[in-house]
Amino acid sequence: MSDAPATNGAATPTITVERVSRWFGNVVAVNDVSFEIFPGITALLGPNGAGKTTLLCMIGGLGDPSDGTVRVLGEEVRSNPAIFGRIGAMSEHESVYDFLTGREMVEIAARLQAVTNVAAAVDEAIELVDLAADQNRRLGGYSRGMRQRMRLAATLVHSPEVLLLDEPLSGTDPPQRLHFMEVMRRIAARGHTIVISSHILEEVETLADRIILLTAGKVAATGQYRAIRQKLNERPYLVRIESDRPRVLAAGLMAIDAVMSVEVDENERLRVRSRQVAELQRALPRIARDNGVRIVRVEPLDDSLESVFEYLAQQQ
Amino acid sequence: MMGGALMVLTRLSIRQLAGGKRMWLVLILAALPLVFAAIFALVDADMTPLEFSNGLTNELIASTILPLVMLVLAAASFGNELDDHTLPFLVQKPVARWRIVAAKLIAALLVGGVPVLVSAWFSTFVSTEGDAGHATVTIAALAVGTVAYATLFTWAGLAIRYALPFGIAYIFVWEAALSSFLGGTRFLSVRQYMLAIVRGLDEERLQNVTIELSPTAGLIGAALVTAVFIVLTIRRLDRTDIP
Repeated sequence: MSDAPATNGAATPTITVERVSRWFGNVVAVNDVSFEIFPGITALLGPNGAGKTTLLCMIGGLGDPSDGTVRVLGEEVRSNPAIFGRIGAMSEHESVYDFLTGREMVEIAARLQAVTNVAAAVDEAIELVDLAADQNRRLGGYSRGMRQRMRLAATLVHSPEVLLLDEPLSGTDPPQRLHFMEVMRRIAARGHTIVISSHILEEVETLADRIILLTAGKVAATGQYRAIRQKLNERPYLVRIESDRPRVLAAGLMAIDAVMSVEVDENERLRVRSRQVAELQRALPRIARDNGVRIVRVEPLDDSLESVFEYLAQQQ
Repeated sequence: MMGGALMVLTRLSIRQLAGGKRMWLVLILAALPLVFAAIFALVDADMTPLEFSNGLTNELIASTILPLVMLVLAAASFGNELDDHTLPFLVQKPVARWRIVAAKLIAALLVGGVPVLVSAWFSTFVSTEGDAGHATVTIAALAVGTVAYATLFTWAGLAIRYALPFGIAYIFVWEAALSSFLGGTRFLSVRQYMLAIVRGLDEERLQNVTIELSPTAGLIGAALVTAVFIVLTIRRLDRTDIP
């Protein structure tokens, strides 16, 4: 499962996960997972409980695989503290040392990373996350979003080659997300490897070069966002349509190939199942116009991320 | 720079341990021997200064205050990091595990051990009517025990989910109750090591206390506990899953 980004055809993988499994008692959190990650931005995407955090913990040296191997920059991470000079990791927990100021936390990170010019590196990292004005306030008084950004500054302060970020956008507002994405793109453009976990498809769709989609501890799909989106488009799609003449509209819809089935529910609304959503979207206004039907409302019924992931897992 | 890393970690750990209500508890506990010694010096008690000082050392400082203070602080060194999920901030850095453990131990010793030892010195000095020799010997022996307790409870904070109940059981069940009935348990008691060293260094002290260990055995026992739990803590930090 090694699909390097098109821009990086000859690249060697920065992270190699080979036949990795991890179980906790009887619970299998990660099940025989293999993939490679190359420079650029890769998203680990999946619903809660898919195994993203467990995988990131193993990649970040916080836990051992029960089976298989994890290598970062060609080395084992576990019991190898020296490699953390090349890795920056930010866990999903938003906990910080509340008694420190934001600047103190970043400074401590810089000193532990043996950064040569600490003051300059700290200034740069804090500027990057746009928190210079609040750097001398205690972390205990920060909002969630500010904490996340200052934690990001502490993670970036030594310019790591590999960045592992577990749910970095949680608690951030839309402008902060845009800013975060811009920062990530800038870092990735320098040839660094960034791994971001998320359970929100839209969060990573404009950011990640590649997506590794996990469900129930397995890789459900991997590749570029467009390829995964295409797979999603091919799945049966359930749409509810509210109109003034549902039965007439149902007859019209049944006549086109894109529609697999149509049901009329107790409230006289149509439940339309289709495998070609785009075709259905194009045909619906035409059918309504031709039959004199007024459409009141169209809404997808199973567009939750969990249902999307379940579908992709079943396709594997 | 690596010496710098130890310094950075130690300062961070000291700030972590010295903040909040925990420090007040430590200071109150540490002050108790001084208060008792002052009361003894002011009232007309029916015991000799040495008898009172022996009771203070054995029954208050060595059996209760010192182990409790070290438990509260040393178990919190890693325990708080685990509870607050801040441990990844430390271990995902290019810093050898032994430096992290050393920083935690130094912090616990400075924040908890030093106030108790200072209090022990002055309270012994006051209660023995100004005998600096008795006071110095006492804190020398207590310092050995302080280090042993620090390593034991630092390990517990990292390795045992309920480190405080474990520590309290060790102090009040194993060291206090069981060692009164089962002589063999005295060979596995930090308190006994301390008391053996006190008597070895100062023959006038603790004559009325049952101590089955020689001063050398006490010193070796304390050194072994210290070494074993330092190694166990480093191994644990290196191999445990960090949430």
